Amino acid sequence: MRAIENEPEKARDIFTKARLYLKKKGENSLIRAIGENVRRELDNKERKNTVTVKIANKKDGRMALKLLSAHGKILPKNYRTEIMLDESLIGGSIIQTREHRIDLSYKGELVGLYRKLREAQI
Amino acid sequence: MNISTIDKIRKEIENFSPSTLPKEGGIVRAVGDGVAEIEGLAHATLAEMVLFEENEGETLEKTLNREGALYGMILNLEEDSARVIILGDSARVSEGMRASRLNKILSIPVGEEMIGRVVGALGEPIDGGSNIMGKTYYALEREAYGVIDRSPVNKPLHTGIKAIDSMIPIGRGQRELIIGDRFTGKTTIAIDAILNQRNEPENNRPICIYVAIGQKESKTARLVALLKDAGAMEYTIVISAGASAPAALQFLAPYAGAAVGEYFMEQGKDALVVYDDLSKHAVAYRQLSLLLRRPPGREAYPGDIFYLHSRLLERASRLSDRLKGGSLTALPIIETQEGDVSAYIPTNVISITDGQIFLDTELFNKGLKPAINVGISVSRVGSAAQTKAMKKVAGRIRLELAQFRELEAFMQFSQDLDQSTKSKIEKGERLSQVLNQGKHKTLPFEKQVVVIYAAVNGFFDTIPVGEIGKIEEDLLLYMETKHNDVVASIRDEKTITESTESKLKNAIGGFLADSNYR
Repeated sequence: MRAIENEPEKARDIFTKARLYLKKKGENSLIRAIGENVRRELDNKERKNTVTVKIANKKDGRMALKLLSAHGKILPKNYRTEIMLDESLIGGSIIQTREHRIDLSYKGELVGLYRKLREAQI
Repeated sequence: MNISTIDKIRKEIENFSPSTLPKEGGIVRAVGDGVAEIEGLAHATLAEMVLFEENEGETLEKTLNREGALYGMILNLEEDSARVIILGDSARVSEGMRASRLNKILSIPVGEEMIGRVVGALGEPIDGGSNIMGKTYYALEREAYGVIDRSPVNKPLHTGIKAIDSMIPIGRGQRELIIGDRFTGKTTIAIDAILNQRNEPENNRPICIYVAIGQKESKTARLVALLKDAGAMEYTIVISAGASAPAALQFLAPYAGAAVGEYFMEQGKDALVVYDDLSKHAVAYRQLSLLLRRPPGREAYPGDIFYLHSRLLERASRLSDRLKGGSLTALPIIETQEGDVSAYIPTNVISITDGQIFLDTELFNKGLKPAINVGISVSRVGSAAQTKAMKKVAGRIRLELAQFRELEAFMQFSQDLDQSTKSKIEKGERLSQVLNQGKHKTLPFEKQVVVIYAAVNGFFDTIPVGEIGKIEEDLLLYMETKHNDVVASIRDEKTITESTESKLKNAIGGFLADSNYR
C-alpha cells in the first residue's frame, strides 16, 4: 500500500510480478479480487484524509480556512482539502472530516435556535 | 402572540449560543433492512444514540418543516465502523449521509403524564393525543437493582382470577410467566389482571403497563378500547410496537415498558408490566442479530438471547424501604408451539422467571377457562405474598385439583371405581367448576375467598355440577346484600378470624336454606 501511494513505478512492478505468479499457480480469479480490495482500501484512506469545507459563498472561504487551521487537532495528518459551495447554508461554513463536523453556518445556528424554542414549548 | 411569549422568545434568543465545538459522527456507507453501517464513530459506545443528518443540502425552510428526527442505536462496534439499527423508516437513510453521536444512551420520557396514553417504543404518542413533554428521561437499558436494594416479595398482586389468586398467587415485584399455545387465553389473563386493579383502593393500585410486541394493531386497538370502557386506562399505559413496526422498535419496546415501570417503582409506587409477547421479541432480536451479522446459534438465535430476556426480567423487583419500597411486577407472555415447553425460548424464560402459569389447549377446548394446567403451573415466591384469608381457604385446592386431573382419565369407568376415588372425582369436578371464570369477569379477593370457602367446605356438594356457576353468582349477590359485614371484614382484616368464619358459615348455610338449590 505504501508503494502504491509513494512509488507508483515500484507498485506497478510488484503488481506485474504478483499477476504472473498467480497466473502460473492457476489462480487468475484472485487477481480481480485483490485489485478490488486494493481500490477499496485506497478509497477508504482517501476518505479518511479528506477534509470537506462547505461554504455558502466565496466570501466565507477565507474565514473557513482560518478556522481550519484553528482546529488542527481534529484534522488528519496529511489531509486534503475539498471546498464545496452550498448556498443552503445561507452564510458561514461547515468543516467536516470523516469523524468530526464543525457547523458554523447560519442555517445550523437558525435550526439550533428553532429546536431550542420548540423544546422550551414556546 | 402576547407580550410574555415575545419576551420568552427574546430571552431564549439572548441566551442562545451556537456550539462551535466539533461534533463527533460518521458517514453511512451501507444501509439495508433497518441496519446502517456507519464509518467513523471512533469513540462511540454500545447502545448510544446517533442522529441521522437528513437536512444536508436542504433549504432552511424544508429543514424547519421536517417533522421528527431520525435516530439510530449502535449495536455493533467494529474496527473502523459501527452497525446501527435505524429507529424508524430506513428508507430515509441513504449512503453518504452523516450521522452524529448524541453522547447519550437511548432514553424515553417517563412520568405521570404518560398514564392513560398509548405510545410507541420511543415514547412518542400514537393515540392521536398531544406530545408527551416529559421532564424526566430514563435510559431504556439500565442495570437491575442489587440484593441490598431489594425487599422480599410479600405483598400480593391480585389478578381477580380465582384459579390464580388461590393456587398460583403472584406477589408485587415477582416475575410470573404466562405460557401456552395460541388462543389459550394468555392475553386475557394479563388484561384481567390489569382490569382487576380497579378493585384495589386507589392508594394501593399499581400503575399498569401493557407492552404489545409484534401484535396486530387491530388487536392492540381492541384492547385499548376494552381498557378504556372498563375505566382501566386511568391507571394504564400502553406501549405498542406492532407487527408492522421495524424489528428494532419491537426489540426496544419491552425495555421501554421496564423503564416506565421503574420510574413509578422509584417513586415508591407499585407497577405491573405485561410483555405480550417475548416470543415475538426474541424473533425480532434474531432478525436484528442476523442483519448485524452476528453468528447464529440454536434455532438461529444469537448467543446472547438468554441475556436479552434475563436483563429485562431482572429489572422487576420490590425495592427496600430505604428506596421508598416501590415494586415492579412483570408478567411476560410466551407462545408455545403444540404445547412444547422444552423449546429454546420457553425454557429460557421459564428458568428466568419466578414461576409460570401454563395454559393448556386441551383444557381450553373442554371449556375450562382460564385453561390453567395446575400440575405444571407454579409460583415460586407468591405464597409468601398470599393473604392469610386466601391461604386458609385455598390450602388444599391445588392438591385436590391435581389429583382430580390424574383420575379424570378413569371417569369413563366410573361404575368400577371405589367410593373414595369416586368422591375425589366428584369433588374435583365441582372445584373445576368453581374455578371456571368468564372472560374479564374478575372478582375482588374477598369475594373469591367466600366462594372458595363454600366449595372447599362442602357447601356445594349437593349442587349439580352444571349449576355451580349460577349458585356462585347468587351467593355473592346474597352476601353483598345481606351479609356485607362479613365480606367487608375479610377485605379489611385480610384474614378469617374465628368469629368471621362462624358468621360466614351461617351466612352460606342461610343462603342455601333460603334458595331452591338444596
